[in-house]
Amino acid sequence: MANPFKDIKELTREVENYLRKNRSALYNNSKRISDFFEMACYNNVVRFYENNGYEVSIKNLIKNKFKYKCTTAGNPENYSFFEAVYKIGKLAFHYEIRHNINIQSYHTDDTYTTPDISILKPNQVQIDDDFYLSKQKYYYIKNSSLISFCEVKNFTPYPELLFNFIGVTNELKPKLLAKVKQSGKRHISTSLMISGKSNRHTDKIISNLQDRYHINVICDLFNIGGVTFGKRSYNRLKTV
Amino acid sequence: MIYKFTENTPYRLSQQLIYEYNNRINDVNHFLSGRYDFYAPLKENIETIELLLALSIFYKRVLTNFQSATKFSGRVVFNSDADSIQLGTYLLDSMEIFKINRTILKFNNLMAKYSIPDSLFEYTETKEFLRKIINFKAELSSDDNG
Repeated sequence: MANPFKDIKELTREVENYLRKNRSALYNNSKRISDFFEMACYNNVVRFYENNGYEVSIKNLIKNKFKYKCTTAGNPENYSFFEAVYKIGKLAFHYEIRHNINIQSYHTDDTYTTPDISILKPNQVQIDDDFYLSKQKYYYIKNSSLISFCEVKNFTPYPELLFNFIGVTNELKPKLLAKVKQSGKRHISTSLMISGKSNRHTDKIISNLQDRYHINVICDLFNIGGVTFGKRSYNRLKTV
Repeated sequence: MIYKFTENTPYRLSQQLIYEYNNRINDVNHFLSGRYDFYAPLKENIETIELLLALSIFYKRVLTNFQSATKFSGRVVFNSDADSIQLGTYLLDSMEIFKINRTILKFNNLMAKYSIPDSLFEYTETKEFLRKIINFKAELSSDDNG
């Protein structure tokens, strides 16, 4: 067995060979790293719904392509999304899991923000003709149609990042900024999903925020994402 | 050492890789400066530490993101009528997914050849990384002796 402490020259040469042979794949895909992480989180939210008894299917494929909404602009109806359906007897409850959708503030009707992932009541896209000075239309969802949302950050957690999330929650779902005595079980509560691992200080902040508010803050998603949203542990997440 | 990796990455990402590497190599130099007996045995392996540090940063910041992409694209492309995912002008189809998986697999094979475990790359603080290297080196030595 090769030993990196004894065969360092050989390992260095092999690493150089690896990088050279995979140059184009590394370069081309490195440009989309943030999109890739968001896609993984989107996948995790879909897994939560599957494990929580929903039937999940892809909707609005365009020419057999899943058209992924990379920016906040554009008509949501031109992009693909996941539909989650929960059935109780003959009743079926439909929800949409969408990406990069503009959501109206809870506090004012004419201001918006765009969480990375939103769980929405179906077919609720609204148009604001006055948002831009030009004739361009602005597409959004009314706050009352927002069930929950998730923010995705491809960073190592730091205090300001965590506290900023509370600001977004206050704008979209302020009722979660209190201890909730009884909550629903069917939807993931508003969550912050972070790729990096927290340190001792940010661990304390996360613990404190999760204790005070009805939110999830999930870190180290590169390593533990699959576990958090897996069949055995998804029910540890807070729900609404 | 990190420059071997940044030759193949776009400018913005390469700057992040270099920034993290330089910060951590300063930490490494601090711990190996002779002030700490615990880390002294690593002094003779500075070249290996530099390479493992660069590999760990490359793994965490590049390859784990590639793995993330394959999870989502696997669901969409292999479990529905969709033949690809369109991100702006970029098309993530089965061929592209295959290429990404191959890049990850080749890296994993190389790490396996040198018995380098994934867990070596899971750390927050540099001293945690150095402690893992001490344990890793000890394990390899005991294997050689056993």
